[in-house]
Amino acid sequence: MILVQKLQKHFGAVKAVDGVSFEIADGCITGLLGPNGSGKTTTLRMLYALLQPDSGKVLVDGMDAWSQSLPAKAAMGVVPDARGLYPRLTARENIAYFGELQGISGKALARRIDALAQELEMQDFLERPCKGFSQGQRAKVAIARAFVGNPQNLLLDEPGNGLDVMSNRALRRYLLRQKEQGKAILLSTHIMQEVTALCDEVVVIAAGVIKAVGTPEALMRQAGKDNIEDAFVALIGSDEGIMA
Amino acid sequence: MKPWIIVFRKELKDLFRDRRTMVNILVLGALLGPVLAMGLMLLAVKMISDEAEKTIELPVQGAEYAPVLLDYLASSRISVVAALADPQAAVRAQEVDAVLVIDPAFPRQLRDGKPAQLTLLSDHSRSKTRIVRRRIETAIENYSANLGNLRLSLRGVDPSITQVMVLHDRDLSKKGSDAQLLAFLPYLLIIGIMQAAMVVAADLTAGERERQSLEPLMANPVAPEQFMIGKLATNVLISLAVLSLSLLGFAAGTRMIDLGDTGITFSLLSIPVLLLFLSPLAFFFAALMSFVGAFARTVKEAQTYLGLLVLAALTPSMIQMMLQSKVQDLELLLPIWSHNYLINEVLRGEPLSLAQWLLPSAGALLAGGLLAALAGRLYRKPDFIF
Repeated sequence: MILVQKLQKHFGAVKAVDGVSFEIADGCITGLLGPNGSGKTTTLRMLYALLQPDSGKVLVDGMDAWSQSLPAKAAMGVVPDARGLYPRLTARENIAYFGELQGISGKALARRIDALAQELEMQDFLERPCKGFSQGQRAKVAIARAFVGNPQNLLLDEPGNGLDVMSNRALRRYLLRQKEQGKAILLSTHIMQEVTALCDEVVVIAAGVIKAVGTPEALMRQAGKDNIEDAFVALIGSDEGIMA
Repeated sequence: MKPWIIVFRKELKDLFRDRRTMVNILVLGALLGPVLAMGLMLLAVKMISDEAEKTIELPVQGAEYAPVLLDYLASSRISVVAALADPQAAVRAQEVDAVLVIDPAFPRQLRDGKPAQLTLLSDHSRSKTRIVRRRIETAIENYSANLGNLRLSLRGVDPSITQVMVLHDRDLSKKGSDAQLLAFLPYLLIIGIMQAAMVVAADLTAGERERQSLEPLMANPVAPEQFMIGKLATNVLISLAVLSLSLLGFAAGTRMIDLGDTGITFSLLSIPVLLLFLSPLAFFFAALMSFVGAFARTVKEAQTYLGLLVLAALTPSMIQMMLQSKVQDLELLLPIWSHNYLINEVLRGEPLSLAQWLLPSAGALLAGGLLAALAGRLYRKPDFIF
C-alpha cells in the first residue's frame, strides 16, 4: 500500500505538483488519469524516490520513500515511461540484471524469470538479444524486469503506449491476476479504455491538482455524464491535451 | 553480492558483446601505439644509419682550386659531383643537401699559410641535412688539422702543443636507452589508456541515457553511487587490459624489428612495473572521463567532449617530450606530468625511488577519487537521470 500525502514539487516558477494526496490500496488497481503535462510523471517520480518532494511525503508500506529509499524501492516495481533495454543482452539477461539488483539470484532467479515469461507470454523471445524487439516485446521485458523481485506495489507509467491489441490484453490479464493476489497497483494513463477495463479507483489530476477521486461509475455520476471520457473532460474543466 | 559487482559484471558482458566498441578500444588503444612506435623507430634508425653510411654526393663550385682536398673528401665517402649553375637555388629547392664553394683565392691563401676560405651552403632548418653537414664539416676539419700538424712538424714544433686540452666524451646512459627514440613512448602509452577510458565512459554513461535505460535502472533498490562505482571499475579494468596489450605489443615489436645498434630493448620485467605504476593513472582517467561524460546526453556528444579532453590531457606529455626536464619533489604529485617522466625512467632501466612510486600514485588516486565523488553526486541529480 502506498500513501501519498500533500505532495508538492515545483520546477522554477512552475508548480508541477501542488498538494496531491491519494492512496494506492492493496488488492486494487488505482488509475492516475490526467492530460499531458498534468503532473502524472512528476508524481510517479516522487513515488519511486528519484525526485525529492518540496513538501509532503510518500509512505510505501509504512516506509518514507525519500528518507528510507532503499527498502521503499525494494517494495516497489516500477515501469517508467522511459523503458530502454540493453540491446546486446537477451531478454532473460535484461530481466536477470534487474533481478540481481533487487536481491534475487541463482536458481530462484531463473525460476522466477521462467514464471514471468509464461505469464507475460514471452517464451518465444526470452533468449534473444533485445536489439530489434517490437514495442510489445520491449514493453513485456520492461514489465518483467520491474516486477522480477515480486514487489508488493506495482507502478506503471502509461504501459499501454504503443502496444498492439494482443500485447495489451496480455498485460491486462497479468495486472488483473496481480490484483487478485493482493498487490497494490498504480496505473498512470490517459487511455480511457484502460481505465474502464482495469481500474477500481481513479484519481483525476490536472495542472498538478487532484480534481476528483472515486470509482469510474462514481466519477461519471459526479460529472453527470454517461461515459468516462465525457466525465473526464468535465472534471478537468477543459478538453485540452486529451487527444494528444 | 555487492550491487557494484553486479553492475560491473553486467557492463563487462555488455561491452564484450559490442564488437564495434571493442574493436575501437583494441585497435586504437592497444595496437595503434606499438605499431606507430615501431614504425617511427624504424624510420628514425634507418634515417640515422642511412645518412651516416651512404656516400654523400657533394656539388663543388671551383673544384679545380683544391684537387687534393677533394681527394681527401672522397676517402671519407664524400664524392664530388659537377658544379651547379645556381647552387643557392638548388639548395633552397632541396635538389641537393649541401654545396661546397671554393674561393678562387684558395690555392694562393693555402700557399701563403693564410686561412684558406671555403663556404658550405645548406639549409639549417632541414633536419635531414644535419648529418650530411656534420660529416662534411668533420672531414674538412680533419683535413685542415692534418695540414696544420704537418706545417708545425716541418718547423720542428711538436703538433701536440696546439692541443691544450682533450675532452673525453663518455656516455653514462644504461644499456638499452636511447633517450631520443624513447621520448615518445610514454606519450603513446598514455594515449592508449585514455582512448580506452574515453570509449568506455562514453558508452557507460551517455549510452545509458541515450537508450533511456537510466531511469528504470535507478528505480532499483540500490544506492546511486553503486552504479557509478561498478561502471568506474569496468572502465579501469578495460583500460588496464588495453595497457597490458600495448606493453606486450611494444615488447614484441622491439624484438621483431631490427633497431640496428641503437641498443633499445624493452625488458619484459618493465611490463609488470609499468602496469602497477600506471594503475592509479588509469583510475584517474576513468574517473575524469566518467565525470565529464556524465554531462553528455548522447554517445556522440560524449565522444566529442572526451576527444577534446584527451587532447588537453596530452599537453603535459607533449611538453615533456620537448623539454625532457627532470620532474621532482612536489611536482611528482601531478598526474600525467610525473607519469610521463617516470615511464621514461622505467624504460631506460632506472629503478624508481619510494617517492617516485608513492607521490604520483597518491596524486592520481586523490584527483581520481575527487572526480569519482563528484560523478557519484551527479547520479543523485534529477537532471542527470531524466
